[in-house]
Order: sequence, then C-alpha cells, then structure tokens
Amino acid sequence: MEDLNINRDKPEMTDEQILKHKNFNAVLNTVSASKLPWYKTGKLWLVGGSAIIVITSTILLGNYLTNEKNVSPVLEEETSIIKNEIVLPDSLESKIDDGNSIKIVHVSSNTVVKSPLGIEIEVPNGVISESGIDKEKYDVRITSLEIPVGLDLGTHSKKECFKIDLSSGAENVELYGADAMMIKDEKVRILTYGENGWEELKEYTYIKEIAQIDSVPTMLKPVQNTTRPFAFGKEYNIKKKIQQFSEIAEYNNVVFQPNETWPDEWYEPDMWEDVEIDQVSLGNYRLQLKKMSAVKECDVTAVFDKINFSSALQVYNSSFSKTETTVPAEGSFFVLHNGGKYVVLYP
Amino acid sequence: MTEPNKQYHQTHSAIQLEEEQIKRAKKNPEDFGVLYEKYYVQIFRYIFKRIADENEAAELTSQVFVKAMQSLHKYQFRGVPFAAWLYQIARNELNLAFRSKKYNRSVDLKTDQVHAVIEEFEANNLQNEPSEEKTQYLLESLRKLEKDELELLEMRYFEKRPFQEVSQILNITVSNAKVKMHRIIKKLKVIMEVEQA
Repeated sequence: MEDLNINRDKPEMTDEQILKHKNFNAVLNTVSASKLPWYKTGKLWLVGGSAIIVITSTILLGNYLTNEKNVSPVLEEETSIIKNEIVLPDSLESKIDDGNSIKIVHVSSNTVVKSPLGIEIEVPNGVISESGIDKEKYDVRITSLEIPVGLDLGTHSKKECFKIDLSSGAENVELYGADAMMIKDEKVRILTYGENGWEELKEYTYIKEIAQIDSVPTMLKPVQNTTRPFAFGKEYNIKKKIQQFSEIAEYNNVVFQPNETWPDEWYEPDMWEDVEIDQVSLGNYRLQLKKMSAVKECDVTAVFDKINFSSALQVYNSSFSKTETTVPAEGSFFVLHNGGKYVVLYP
Repeated sequence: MTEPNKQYHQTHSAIQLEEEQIKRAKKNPEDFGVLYEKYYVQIFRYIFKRIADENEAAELTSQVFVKAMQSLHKYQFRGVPFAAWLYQIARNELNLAFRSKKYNRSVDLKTDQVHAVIEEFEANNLQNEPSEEKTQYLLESLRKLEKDELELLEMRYFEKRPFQEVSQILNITVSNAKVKMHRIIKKLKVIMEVEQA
C-alpha cells in the first residue's frame, strides 16, 4: 500500500464537529426515493444504471485483483458463516485421485519446541513440531509431516494431529503456520529444511474441505524413560486408577518418571501404604505417596521403559488405523486437520 | 492496552432493547432514527480515519446508513451489537471507494500507539522508548502490509478495539483474530529488520 497516507498525532474530531454532518431526514428521503417505481423518478433510473455499472466494475476488478484461482472458500465457523461454493480450475480437478493414506500421529503447539532430532524450532500457534528426516539423502528429505494444533509437545493427543506420507510426494517441506483456525483466504507457509536450516518455500491457500473425521481416539504418544521410573505394582491397584485417564488407559505397562530426584527407598514397592494419582496435564501427573499420616506429592511423567516401549508404540500406531483417509497423490497437496475436518491445500 | 469502546459494547439488556428497536425500524423506517442517532458518530469516525476528508466521510457515512436501511429486512439479530453490522457495511463502502480510486487509504495513529506496536516484538529488549528513527521505520513498514493486515492492526492498536469487537466487525472468530494479529506483528518485525538493514 505505497499510497497509504499516514496521519501521525492528528487531532481527533470532536463529537460536536461530527454531529454537524448528521441529517437523518436526508437519509430517509434517499431511502424513500429508492423505493419509488422507476417511472416515477428519472433520477432513480440514472442512479440504478450507475449502480449496475459500478457493481459490475467492482466485481470485474475484484476478480482481477484476487488470485488467479478466484476461489473464496469459507470455513464454517461456530456461527455458521455463509459457505460459498468453491470452483476449482479443471487443471486441479484432474489431479485429484486416490493416493496416499493419511495417518494421524501427534500434535504439538506453540512456543519453542525441540524435535527429537535436536532441531529447535520457534513456532507460533499450531505450527510444526517435528519431522522425520531421511539423513541418507544429501538434500535432507522430509518423509513425513506432523501438523500441530495446540497441545504441548511431549504430551500428545491423536485428536488433532497429522502425519502425511510424503515419500512419493513433495520433498523437504513442512507445514508452517497451519492451525485449527483456517478461514477464508487463510494462508499457510511451507518451509523447507536444507543445509542452511529452515527456509520459507511458498504460501498455500486453503481451498477445499474433502472429508470429515467425526471422532478421533486420544492417546498419549509413548515416550521412553530417561531416568529411573516408578512402577506401580499390583499393591496400589494402579491399573484401575489410571483408567480415568483415557490417554494412557489403553497401555498395559505405563510407568511414571519423577520430575525430581527421588531417594532410592521411594521406589521400593512396599515403601508406601497407598499411592493416588491425579492429572496435571496430558501426560503429566501428580502422585500422592501415602505412608501412615504422611503424604508426599510428586510430579511425574508417564513413560515406558525400554522393554515395553516398542509394544506401546504398536498400540499407539494401531489406533490410527481407524482414522486413515486418502488424499490426492500429487505431492503438492496437503491435508490439514481443521476442527475435525480434513482440508486440502493447493499451491 | 485496550480501552473498550463503550459505545460499541453494551450490556445484555441493552442489546435486547436494541433488538426491539431494530424490529420497530423494520416496520417503520422513521424508527431507524434511534439507531442512526446512536451510531452516527462512531461510524463517521471509523470512516474519517480511513479517508481523512471530512465532507467525503460525511457522504460515505450517509451512504452506510442508507444501505443499512435498505438492507434492514435482511438483518438477523445474533446477540451482538448492531454496530458490528454497520461497521461491515462501512467496510464494504470504503472498499468500493478505494477500488474505484475515489480516495486514497489513510490511517490515523498516535506516536504512543506506534511505540506499543514496537514494544510487542521487542518486549524483552526495550529499555527506553523507541527512537524516532525506529518509529519512522515502523511507519514505513505499514506500507508493506496487505490491506487486511493493516486493517486488523489499525483496529487493535490505533483504535484500541478488543478482540471480540474486532472479530465481530471482521466476521471472524476471536482466536482467528488473535492468530492473525500475531502473524502481522511477526511480519512487521521482519519488515522492519529489512528496512533497518
């Protein structure tokens, strides 16, 4: 907007100055005149004709100014915004066919996140968390995308995450800026990861909703322990106690890693008379270790030991099979989760 | 940071009363006068800040209320202030005028409001007030924004409208408005860094 006029520290008009222009009678007369049959006012004929010219010009000019796809997708929001019909150019329509399957993997969120591969990424709401990188290739190829929507990395819910198999599709891309609030003309930026780090590739525009996922199971993505975990034994009836937490209820061998260092004796199974557990956040819990009248509270993280980690992963991955869907095979098309709906982005 | 527009925001009962006024105006155009009186100043001010010509602002404001009256039969009460609908009409009228090159887009702002924008992306580094040089860089950076980006920034920082009001006027969700705002600030930061380089 190079011709933008910037008025800095300009005195504001007072209400009195503004009210001088008020004239409701003139408004009323204009409205009344506009309701007269055309033959009763030559002025209306001219006004109408001019209006048609102006409106037509506006539409034509508007079409010229919008992107060449000339689409106006409107996502249905809570207040049911009018949904426009989306017209895709023939060239895009022909590319849509059965293709890669989509598997939901995990979610992540905003702020600074660090992928398991050691890449630190500063992300806004609903941005990348991590990606699988094929290190054997010189141009580091991203073989999958994980698209976050808003939960903390490390405590994942399947409900709002995606993994897109890109092995036969686009190279070196991650979805940046995508979130659960895609709306009309919302754009997402595609980043590529190369030897110089993350670089912006291009922007995509939300175009079309293609599928609806009604319900997605919620499970915590398994994480392996890094320090000695506390394993609830049968004596504490922990399996029953964790049933209230749907994200870990399906696992058989979840254990809990203390956030702080514990004395060795605390890990002994007969140390405590009872152990209660409350949820702090997804994947994070608070234990109440009880002995006689003493109660010790400790924050822990749900993890899996080395022996049970792979089987936990199998449980986790197998739960996705219920939510697989298909997307166009063309590598430049991506699928986002948007409030329960899959949408396809086109360049 | 925000100073809610008291004329925009109303109590629930006031909004209900307004619904009654709208119903009466639908039956009798003269009853629209109550709404005209209520919202004239704020619609005028909204338009004037964007075209910076008093007489043209008066004419456009008049057109807004004419259009509102002509379309009142289509208006559906949704529990938000009637002002939101009027602002949407005003936006449309302004966009038409800008497209036809009738006016150049203007933006009114105060120096402390500009500083508030700079502080958003320098929150941890800002020791003193931003320099005049930095302020000028930001003003120039405004020209690099898209029109919808400028509009959102203007509503939040230069008009100090709460997100709820902004979302109602722009017909988007509050969370979406916040995300967009976040991205605009980031974009401005990048633009300014380039300008200063």
